Amino acid sequence: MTDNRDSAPLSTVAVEVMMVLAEGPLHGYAIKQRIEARVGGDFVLGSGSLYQALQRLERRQLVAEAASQDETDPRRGRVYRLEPAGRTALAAELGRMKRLLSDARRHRIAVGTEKG
Amino acid sequence: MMRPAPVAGEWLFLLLLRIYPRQFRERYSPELLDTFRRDRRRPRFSGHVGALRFWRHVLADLARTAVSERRHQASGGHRSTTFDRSHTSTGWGQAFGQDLIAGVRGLVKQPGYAAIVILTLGLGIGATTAVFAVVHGVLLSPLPYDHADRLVRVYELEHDNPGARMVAYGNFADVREQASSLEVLAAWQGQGVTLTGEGSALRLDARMASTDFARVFRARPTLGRWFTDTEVTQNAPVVVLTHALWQSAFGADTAVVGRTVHLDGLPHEVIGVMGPTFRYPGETDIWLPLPPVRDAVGQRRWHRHSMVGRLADGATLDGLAVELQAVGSRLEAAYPDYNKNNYFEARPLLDDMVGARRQALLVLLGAVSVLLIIACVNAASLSLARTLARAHEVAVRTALGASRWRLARLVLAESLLVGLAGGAVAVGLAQFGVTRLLALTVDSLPRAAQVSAWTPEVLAFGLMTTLLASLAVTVPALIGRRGEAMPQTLRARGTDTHTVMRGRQLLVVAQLSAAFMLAAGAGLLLKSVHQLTSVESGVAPEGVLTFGIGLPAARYPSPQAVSTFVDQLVDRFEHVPSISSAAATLTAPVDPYGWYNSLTIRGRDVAPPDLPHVSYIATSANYFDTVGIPLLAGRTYDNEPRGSQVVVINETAARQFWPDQDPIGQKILGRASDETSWTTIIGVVGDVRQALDQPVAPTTYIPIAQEYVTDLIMVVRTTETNTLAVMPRLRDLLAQADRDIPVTGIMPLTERIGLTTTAPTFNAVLMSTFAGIALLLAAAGVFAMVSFSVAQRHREFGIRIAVGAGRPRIFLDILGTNLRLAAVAISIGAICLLLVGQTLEGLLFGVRPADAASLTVAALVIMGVSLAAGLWPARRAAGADPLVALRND
Repeated sequence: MTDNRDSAPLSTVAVEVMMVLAEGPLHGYAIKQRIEARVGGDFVLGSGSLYQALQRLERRQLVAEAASQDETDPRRGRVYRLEPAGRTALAAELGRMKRLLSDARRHRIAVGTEKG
Repeated sequence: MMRPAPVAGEWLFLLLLRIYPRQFRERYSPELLDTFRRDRRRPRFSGHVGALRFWRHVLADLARTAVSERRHQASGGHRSTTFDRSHTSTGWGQAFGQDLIAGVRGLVKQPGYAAIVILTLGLGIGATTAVFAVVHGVLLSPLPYDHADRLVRVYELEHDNPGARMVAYGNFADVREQASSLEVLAAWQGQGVTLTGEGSALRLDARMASTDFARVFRARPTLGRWFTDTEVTQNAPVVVLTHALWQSAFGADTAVVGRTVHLDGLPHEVIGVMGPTFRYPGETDIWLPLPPVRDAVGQRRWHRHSMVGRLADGATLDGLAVELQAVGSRLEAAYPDYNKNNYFEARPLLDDMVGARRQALLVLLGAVSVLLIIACVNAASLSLARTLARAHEVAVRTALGASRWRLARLVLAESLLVGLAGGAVAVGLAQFGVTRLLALTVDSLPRAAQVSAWTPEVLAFGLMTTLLASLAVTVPALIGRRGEAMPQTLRARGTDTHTVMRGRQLLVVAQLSAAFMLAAGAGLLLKSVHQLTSVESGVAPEGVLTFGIGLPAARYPSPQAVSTFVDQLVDRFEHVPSISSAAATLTAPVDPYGWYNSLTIRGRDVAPPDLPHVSYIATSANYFDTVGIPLLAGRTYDNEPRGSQVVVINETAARQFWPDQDPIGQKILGRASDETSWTTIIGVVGDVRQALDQPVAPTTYIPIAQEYVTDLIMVVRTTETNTLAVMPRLRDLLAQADRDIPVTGIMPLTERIGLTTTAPTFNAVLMSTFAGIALLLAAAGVFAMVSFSVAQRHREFGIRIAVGAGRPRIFLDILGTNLRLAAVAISIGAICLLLVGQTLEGLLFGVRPADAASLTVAALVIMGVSLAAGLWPARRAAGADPLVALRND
């Protein structure tokens, strides 16, 4: 059953999750660790936020549960995988952000220093 | 492989997860829990502060996502097909909010019920949390050192001398070398020194410590450094300050390293300041080097040091014990004159510090838990009664269409509100309780600084207890609702309440038994304190003031110098009109930590290791008169010719060692134990106890001129009613005699002796408080039950009175039931008490757990309470107007 949540924009966390999964399937905690490593500093991602984002992504079929690669380690929980629809959505998001960025530069709005 | 079962904090997390919608929970709970566990173990969340930060993070995340999840669902979820949205998970949050509001309204309508239950629960939860805070701070919280559970105290003990616990230097060195289970072992020795030059003269608790002392605790200096090995072996004039002393006497001056300070008149260089958490042993002010004892005899003979060490990685306490046994045997063989009958023992450091209080604290925790149960039972009882009273209202609601689930939620909301309100009250009470408890212990509680109501563990305990207590209110209400069928209650009131009555009686009996146990416990402890305080100390302490003075060794280098000074001081004191006599002593009366000496009697051939030990006290001439020790034979010393060696013994020594002869004139060896130090016994005085709960030890008293002592206690007998009033005058006189002698520990002798009863008094006061509250609550419970019963039976009473049965008969009838219940309760309570009686034994003095007098008094109290609480309802019942009673149906 579709619901009107499908058309809402993706949250920042959801985008981060998709970016991490773009590199390959991972289970939940590993996704969290990667995101924290990427953001850096003291940042700790709340588990509620993470799984909320995962749920939304799963509902929109952008992310799906992969059959566990490691049969002998069911403790680790589900492994998530970025679906083709997800890759498309991610590309669209990144494209959107890129357009925003170049617009800002064109109109000389400050965007902060790039960290290489 | 199965996931491990959840642990404490994880249960709480699982509970909190219920905020999320059911679908989300069902899908992601295992992973959420897994993430929770892993994050908890991350190094950034270690320790107490880390734990707080972790929970803050978890709760913040929960709050954020739960809110947005709700909003998401509310805006776009499934449309409900029934009018009552409370069945779907989408409207869950809103419906619960409505329930809460309804709950609040219901409680406000009956403020009496709400107030009593909240107060009852608050009292129970608050008291329990306060005691738990003490137990946690003292017994459970880890010591502030790195891997503190690996720290151990090592003792050198003697089989035939229970008072001996210190080690001789040579033995310490051998244990250090031979015990491979110990990664590092250090020794220390206490000393008093006077610090001059930093404001007024200060008497400091100094500790001489071996090189490795700081390494045992892995303590790092915040300024400068610890001693080097060379400084220790050469006894260099260097000192390390404790953080506390650095702040109080040196104003936290960061340039203090390198400064010269004067201890006992001699210059020392400050080489370091330690951190704020490192202060072992507890009252240390300053550390000095502990030079090794080089004298071959002294190495084995002078037991002056204490040892503390750290277990090596992988070593165990049992392994250490085995090693120590081997070392002990080896030393016994190598040094038969000194080490015969000596053995070594190790104890974990925390255990060493708090072990003596452990049993009492746990018993008190048990007792307060009993109190909590009584409070919960009371609350449950009230909840049940209220439910039944509202049965009519419930029936109406059901008839109008409210689902059973909805009604149950209403009950839940109300109970939770009451429970949480009780918890909130408990927080304030717990803080108050902790403050009062600490004040009551009068500094005698080890690790008291760790006790606080605001540590995460204590707060978690409080929360858990609140939730449990809320259950006590919820369950009866739910059960009460269950059995109500609509038509019956709408039609008639006062239906079959027989089971309810039985249930309430059961609850009351439970309360009374628990109250009986607490009352009996309080009685036993109070009797203990009484027994302890009525023990004859052996002195007449009223009117005697004591204070300590420390003479700097540099200016008073010999016993003669000390003795001359003391005589002059005593003379000055005695010239004060309100002072009848004054004296000085090494050890005050009723102090178990004095000196001991082995007793060699001339003409008796006893091998050195088999010599008995006696208490050894040096005093000035007037001591016995001043503190009120009677002279039983011969004379006490007074103006002895120079060079004479005399000694006075106590009655126990005379009886024990000279049972068939006159001890006067006999010769015994002094502490120097060489041929020149034979002393002659010139008198026998009355016994004085070292400790109120120990038998009297044989004691020898010698004049100060015969023994070098620099730390003395002055005892002054005054005619003033307030002994402290003479202190300013005495200070002046002391200052006139010598300006740089600081005064410590000013207190009346009665108070000093009273210090030994602080712990038992604490236990007794606490238990009595619990018993008092328990009796109050039990009385309330009885009152409520009897009122209820009377209300239920009002028709029966009406008929009986109308028919002519005597009113007094009804009155006695009701009270008779009460007494029967009390009797049952007392029997149950007595049996339970006998079962747990063993645990109480360690806390009692001069009283057996099955003490008939205490139990009888407790039983009478319970019966009295039971009768008194039933009095008013019974009178009302007996005084009822039969017409009114019969009409109201």
